Amino acid sequence: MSVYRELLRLYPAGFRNEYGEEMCAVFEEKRRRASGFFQVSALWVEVLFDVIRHAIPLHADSVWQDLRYTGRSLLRAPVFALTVVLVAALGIGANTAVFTVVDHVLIRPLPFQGADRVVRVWESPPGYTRMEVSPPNYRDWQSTVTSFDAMAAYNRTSANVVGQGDPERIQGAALGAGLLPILGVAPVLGRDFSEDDSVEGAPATVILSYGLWRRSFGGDPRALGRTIVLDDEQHVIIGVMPPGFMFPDRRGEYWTALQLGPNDYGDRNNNYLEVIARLQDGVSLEMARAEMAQVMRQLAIAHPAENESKTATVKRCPGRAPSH
Amino acid sequence: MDILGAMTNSKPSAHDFLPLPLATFHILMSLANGERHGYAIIQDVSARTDGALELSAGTLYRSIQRMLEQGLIVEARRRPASIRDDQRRRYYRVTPLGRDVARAETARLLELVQFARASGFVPAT
Repeated sequence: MSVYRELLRLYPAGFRNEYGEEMCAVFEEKRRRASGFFQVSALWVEVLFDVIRHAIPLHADSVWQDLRYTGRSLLRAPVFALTVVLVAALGIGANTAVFTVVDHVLIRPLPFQGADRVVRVWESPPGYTRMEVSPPNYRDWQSTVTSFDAMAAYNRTSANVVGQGDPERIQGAALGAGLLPILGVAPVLGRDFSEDDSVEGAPATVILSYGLWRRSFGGDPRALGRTIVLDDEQHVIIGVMPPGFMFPDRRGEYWTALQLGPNDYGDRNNNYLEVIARLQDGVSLEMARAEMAQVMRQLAIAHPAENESKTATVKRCPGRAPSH
Repeated sequence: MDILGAMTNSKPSAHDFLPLPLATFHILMSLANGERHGYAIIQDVSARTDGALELSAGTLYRSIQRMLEQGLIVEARRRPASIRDDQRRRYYRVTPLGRDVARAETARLLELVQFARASGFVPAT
């Protein structure tokens, strides 16, 4: 009997509460009259099919009744109904907008191979977990840390563009050589920055976003080698990035070579570089964090005035990471 | 059958319910001569059809639920003395509307049979 009661749970609760006991009484009568293995088995088969055959339509009826009731209620108060629809639409719209942002910023992995190995690294003085890195500390990280097979810095910039249609203010970044390979992207036209471009005093070069290239040069491949004036300084166009590449955020449209010289390396309190790196194969995030902590302890001993009590923060890139 | 119309109008016509589902018609026939509880209806239908139609519990109570909503039957208040009865049982009886619907269904089927006979579909004897 308990098995039959369990089967009745497949019916909607309202139906079960109304007729469950009577159905149990009917089942008991039928069970009493069934004798022998075959009759009892046949009864159970009948009961099983009976429950399946009727429970599903009853659930559907229940849903349909709810829908009809809702429809009638809304039709009786059209203003209220309209308000409900508008509020629901606004809610869904806001939810979609927030999710789209969250999806891009927090959930969706970076669209290149090995994106899960890319990390961001910050200095972490007391009270701060994410502080930009000073060029001297960055240089020391590059030369000592072994958890990463590549590390590169960048610096957010903006510039006035003149001479290519209307003057406009555009956002971009100065990229250290090797940064684009860490992201797993390369110019669709022209070339990436070389070590030579990153030497202080080297001719100014620039890589354009696909959109800026189309906008300013009509998508002409002969734009390579021509110059563009950024903040009154001539820059030679050496490349064009693929469509959709945006860095360091969605506004990024141009990239110059990050040039660091002796003056930049002279001050460990001048924190302005953002750093990304790629984990070596076989190195976990925790291992990289442990090594960075060890390196920062060494730097604190070597340069106590600037690095005392500092540690480092290492986080995976998806999130506020570079994206394209 | 415009059941929705039948349920929302104040006085539904018997014809609104036609054609009747087979189980519904049998239940109405079973209650034609008095009140019965669920299992008694199953037994009565089975006996009247020589075992050809054995209503399952699901079919019976789903039909009863719908017939109560449509006003074709009501739950009877009178019941046998408790010593002779299972208290879980409920007894049902047919309403005047239920009788009208059963008559209308009978007329519909008779007419159908006449059409069938006129078409030469006479049962072999």
